Amino acid sequence: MSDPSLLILASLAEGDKHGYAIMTDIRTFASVALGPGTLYGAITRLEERGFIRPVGGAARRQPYRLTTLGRRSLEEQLAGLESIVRAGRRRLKRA
Amino acid sequence: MKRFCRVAARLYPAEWRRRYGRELEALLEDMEPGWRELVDLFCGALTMQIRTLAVIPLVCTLAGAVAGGVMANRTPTLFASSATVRVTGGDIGNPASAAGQKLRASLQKALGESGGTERAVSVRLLGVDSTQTTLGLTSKDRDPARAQRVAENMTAAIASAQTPPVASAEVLDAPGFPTSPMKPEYPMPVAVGGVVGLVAGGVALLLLRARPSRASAG
Repeated sequence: MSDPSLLILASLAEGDKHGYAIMTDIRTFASVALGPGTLYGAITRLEERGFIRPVGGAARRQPYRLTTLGRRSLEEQLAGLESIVRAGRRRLKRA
Repeated sequence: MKRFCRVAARLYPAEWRRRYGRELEALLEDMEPGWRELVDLFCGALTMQIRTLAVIPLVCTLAGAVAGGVMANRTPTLFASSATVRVTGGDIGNPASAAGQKLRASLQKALGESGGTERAVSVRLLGVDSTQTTLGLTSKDRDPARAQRVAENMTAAIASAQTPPVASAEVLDAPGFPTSPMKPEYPMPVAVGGVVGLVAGGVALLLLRARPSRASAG
């Protein structure tokens, strides 16, 4: 599971974070090391789609916040993943 | 490595850097980037360039240059026959002189008689001094025999245009039968193709950027 957009949404579900904080958080909870280009590529896309938004002033270490749309998207994606996990576990048990 | 990463960060489109550039720099300050992060930044910059369309003129330039090269490669095979003639006396180096005009008329007559065209024949001044003028003559044609025939007729025309004892012509290098075709001329078609591609790409980019975005339209 290494979709950068999903990982960023999951990270921001906990609270506002700037780029470096998101990167270290993802490394901790998902054991995925996102590169700076990948991270900011995903941040750009997520902001364009209205899933996250910058908060506070135009700081160099700009924090981002999950929007309502972003929270809904995260919930949908997690529900989809849960369904896959359940199906996979069930089939493993049967095999 | 941070220095290289900062350089890579500058490869992002200017528009993107205005929005995220300072944040990315701050991120690079906070972390200890390695080769993996450098490659990641390069890939990110390339992706962003493609997304913001700035790569369009570059791609069009390359496509135009390649098309020019392909067209140059597909042009009909030409054979060239060349001669060198030295004229002593007279004033043929000056096109406005009587000798120069006589030579020009004689060359045009020979060209017409031998079935050549002005575009396929070139006459160059190789050397001029007070008493002698050296001319280089080249005839190009798809048919090697015709290329040689036109060159021979032109060479003879140069000789016949001189009036002894005022002037005389000496053939230093007679036109030979071309056995192998000329190599395709790549530089000009490639350059022209590249410039046309660049202009087309620039226009396409301007049109795409001028197009209202879905967000602003809606």
